[in-house]
Amino acid sequence: MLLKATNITKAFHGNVVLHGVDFDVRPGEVHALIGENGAGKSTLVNILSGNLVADAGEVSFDGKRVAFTHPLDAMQAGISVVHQELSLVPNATVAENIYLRREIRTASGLNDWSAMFEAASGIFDRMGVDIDPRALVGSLSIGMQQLVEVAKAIALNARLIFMDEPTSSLSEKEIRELFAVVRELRQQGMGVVFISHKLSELFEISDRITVLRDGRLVGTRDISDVSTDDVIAMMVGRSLDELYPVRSGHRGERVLKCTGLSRFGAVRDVTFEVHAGEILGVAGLIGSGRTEAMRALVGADPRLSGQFEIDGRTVEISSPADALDAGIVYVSEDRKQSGLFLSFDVAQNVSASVLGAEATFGFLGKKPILRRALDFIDRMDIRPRSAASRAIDLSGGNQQKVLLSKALATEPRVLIVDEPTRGVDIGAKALIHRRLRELAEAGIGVVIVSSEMPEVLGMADRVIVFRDGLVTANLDNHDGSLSAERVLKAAVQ
Amino acid sequence: MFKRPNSKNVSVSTIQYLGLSTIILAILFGCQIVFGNVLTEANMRVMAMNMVFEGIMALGMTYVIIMGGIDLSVASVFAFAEILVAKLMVQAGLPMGLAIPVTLLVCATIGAANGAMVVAFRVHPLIITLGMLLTLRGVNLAITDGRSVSGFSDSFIWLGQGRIFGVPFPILFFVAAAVVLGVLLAHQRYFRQLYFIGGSERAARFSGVNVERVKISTYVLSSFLAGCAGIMAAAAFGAAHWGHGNLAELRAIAAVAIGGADIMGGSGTIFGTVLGVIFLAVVHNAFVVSAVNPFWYDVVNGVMLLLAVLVSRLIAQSNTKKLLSIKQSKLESSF
Amino acid sequence: MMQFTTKAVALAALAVTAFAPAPSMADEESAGHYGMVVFLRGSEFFNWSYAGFQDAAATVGATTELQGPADWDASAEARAVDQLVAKGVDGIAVTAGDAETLVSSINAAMAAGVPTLTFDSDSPNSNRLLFVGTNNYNAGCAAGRAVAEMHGDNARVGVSLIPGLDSINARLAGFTECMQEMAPGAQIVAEVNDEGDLQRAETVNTAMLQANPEINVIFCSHGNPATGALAATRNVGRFDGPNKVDVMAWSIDVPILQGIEFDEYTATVAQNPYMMGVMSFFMLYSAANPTQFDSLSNPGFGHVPTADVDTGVAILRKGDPAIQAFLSPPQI
Repeated sequence: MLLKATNITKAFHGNVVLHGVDFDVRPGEVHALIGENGAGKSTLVNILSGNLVADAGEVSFDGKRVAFTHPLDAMQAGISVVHQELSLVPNATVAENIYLRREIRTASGLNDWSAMFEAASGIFDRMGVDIDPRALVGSLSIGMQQLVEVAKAIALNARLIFMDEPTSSLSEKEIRELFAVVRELRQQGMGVVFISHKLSELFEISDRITVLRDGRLVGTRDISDVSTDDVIAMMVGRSLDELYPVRSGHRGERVLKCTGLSRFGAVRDVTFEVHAGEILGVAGLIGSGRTEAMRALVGADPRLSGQFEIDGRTVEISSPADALDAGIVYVSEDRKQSGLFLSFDVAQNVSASVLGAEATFGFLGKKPILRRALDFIDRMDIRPRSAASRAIDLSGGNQQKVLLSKALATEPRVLIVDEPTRGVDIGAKALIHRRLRELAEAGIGVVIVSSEMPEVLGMADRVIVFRDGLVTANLDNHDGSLSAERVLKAAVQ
Repeated sequence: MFKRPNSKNVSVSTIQYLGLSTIILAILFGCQIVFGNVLTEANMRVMAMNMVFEGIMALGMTYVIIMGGIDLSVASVFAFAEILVAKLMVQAGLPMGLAIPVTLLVCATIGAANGAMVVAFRVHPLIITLGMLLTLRGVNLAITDGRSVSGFSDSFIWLGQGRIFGVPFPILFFVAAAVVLGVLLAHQRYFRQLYFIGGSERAARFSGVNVERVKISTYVLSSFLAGCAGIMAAAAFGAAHWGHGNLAELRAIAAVAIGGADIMGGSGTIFGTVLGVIFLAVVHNAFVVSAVNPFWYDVVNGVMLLLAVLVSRLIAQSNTKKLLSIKQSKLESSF
Repeated sequence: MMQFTTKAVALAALAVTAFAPAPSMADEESAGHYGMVVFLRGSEFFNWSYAGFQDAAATVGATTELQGPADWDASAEARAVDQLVAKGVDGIAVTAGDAETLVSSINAAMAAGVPTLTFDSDSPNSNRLLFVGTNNYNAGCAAGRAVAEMHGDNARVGVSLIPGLDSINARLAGFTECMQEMAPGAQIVAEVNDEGDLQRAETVNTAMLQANPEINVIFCSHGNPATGALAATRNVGRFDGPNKVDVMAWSIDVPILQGIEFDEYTATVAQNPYMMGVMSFFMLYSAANPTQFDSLSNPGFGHVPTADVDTGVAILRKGDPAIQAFLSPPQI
């Protein structure tokens, strides 16, 4: 066994994200690691590569017990990670990037470029690729840069390489090349752990597959023993143990129609409708384009095309302010960066998007702002019940309630909420779900973008699924009978 | 052995350097033809001396900017070094051989303080070094009451006015420093790390670069060079005065940016900076020989600076676009 | 590649527009080209000087240019002098932002045969031809006579000053001697240190007036304290009326001149920056065009006075037509 990890446990702020996970890699194998968002893949990789320290568990590498506290420890031992975001410097040559901190030097102490070029060429020969070590990294394609990352790992004498979503930015041809390199490395006895959402690729390249779910190991199988359906079944299986508000089943008039929404390099030709009385769920793995689509819809990011109708009338949207005027409000998933004014009090936050409404000749009155804040504190059950508490002092759940209040204060026709209950406690979660359902009943179009499968299935009357920038499925769920498998299948296959 | 690491294709920076050189030569010869008195030994010497102290500061600034930082404090470190070395010699009676090392040591310490604060407080270096700029300027005024200090020995004066084969010593110092720092930046592993820190601090850290140490030592280098420039300036002008070198930090930064370095860090060369310094000197000279209202000088420099920043930003943007294009072509082929 | 081309074209265009309107200097027929170097380039005071320089040059058909930093950086002045020498001008007038910093540049210019003088602020340790500016003793003397005219033997003067400066000491010596020559009973009863600071000036002058109620004139021996001194008279209730304390300022700043028109300040000692420019030019022109005999003090150059040139002061009171002239500064 090249790497053997047993009983790995890790918690953040009392929230356990890995529950005693076992994981191993054999020499000369490609091992796929898969799981839904938040299943614990990144945490596991971070622990095995020295970026995080586990709370409990043992790791042995090459038969020796190891305890990494820094990525450098792992690198020295022979474990490297090729990250999704590349860590190369564009203005340095390929060879220099490969040999950073381990430069080959001449007697005078300066870098011996020709020796480094030669050594780098040797590595590329070993990988079976043709890259000029003298080229500036910035002049290479993303796929070639990825191969440079791999070469960097090999130069470090890595015997185990983690590849985190390596294919997401690669063209089809580049993926072939990368796979050829991976096979070559396997041939030479190295271990490769391949983390990806794309089942088809995993089935093509890997020998074994390990599935994580909710921080637990579901199982490790030989790839020849399982089908894609088996893997999907292993990935889901989370029970709907929370209660969601009851659906009325009533489908009203069409409130929003979005046609042919495209965004350069992110989403293409997205079409969907939202009706009064129903909630539209937007599912898809992180990076699938769901958030990118919603941001393009409200004009927060530029788009290539897209027509929108509200209550049957065509509207022009080129900025979030236009969207607000048209009656569409978007609640960001990133409430601290682009949602709340953290140092402002609750009253100021709630009224932030409607400052114009109170103004008499441009002057803001205090009273209406306070009245509105108290009203929402009541409706959304914001604690503490004070309009003067600062947003930064509130809990995650109450911050989210303030953020929703701010959106609702604009009296929108369509409410798009991205990750409505991320980082929110159970009580607040239930309240937010209840309020969202009430809004839908009241005739407002509600769109919920969520990474949490139970939330999507529990709340939505209709679900659209994103994969690689496209809507791959539009599924009915008015009676709550939609299965997680169908959604996941559309998201990964 | 000193083959520069380069791609087979002509890189963007090569074109940029060629263009900048062409412009410099065009201005020089253009002014010579129209106004005359440009390509004389005297004018060349004056032209070089005009920008040499900013040039020395720009060398250190290149290191700082490549690393993704900035050092606004150099101008007041420069004046402080003038005043300190003058006071040590004229008022404290220290011999030149002692006063100069003490001054340089103090300047290096100021740089270490800059670097340590940048590292410790995680505040943008713009703010830290601006604070240092203003603080030291106040100190300079306070310890001199706004008056100049003078009365140097001839051997000290030589550091500013002495010539070897007709070339003033500060210019020789600049050339030597540029060659040494240029070679180190291009070929020495410790200084190559600057590119990695400027390119991606996180990635550099993961690759085992001791980011804190490199940062502090780079600010030390910048202050040290400003100190050297200050000592030579005191000798060149025969007096130390708090007002000397006012706004030199901006001219140094402009030289680096015009020389093609990305102000956000990660790229730039000493060669480019030297071209940038020469450009500023030549343009300034052109204004004198043409007798155009010198207020326009700042306009030309400002426009050049904006153009240089624009070019580096456009390159960065086109890189992002390249990345998105791959995804876009995948999207288009998926139907 | 494209971007670079754009950059180059833009630059070329810039270069062309920048240099196209340039006057061509040093024609064969021209009476020469002269440079003025100042600090605080763009300030009203030196604009007056340059206007005088320019106007004087025009009378003989010579051309001029103005160089120097827009701040206090005397080293930039030194470099500007070097530049003008390398360019081959026929003479340089420089006001020394710092006396010592300019020594070596002025000496180098003189050694290169370019006549160089200082104006307004001298660099006495240099080999400059001469200094053109206000003689401090004479200026103080004029102020002292004016006070003697106003109050005769009853003049009781408080002085606001910065101790230890040669220029101020000379002004005060001239003030005292000339005042007492005309009115032997007149006295200086107190001197206070305003440290060159406006607020400090108000504090110390107020204290001075309280301690010495007999004071009926405050003499401001330099440009800064006038506003503070005026505020001090207001603080002790002697801003107007029969007990008004007369404030004599030393400035041609617009607020002071307006204050005179409004009866706030009694008078001001006005230097003559325009004249400094005019005299600087003629001195340089004379030095650059030797006649039958060389200069006595600077062989090789034409004749210039062997003593400094005093451009004098005027004591401006309400209604003086010069006030209006100073209120409309020249355009350059």
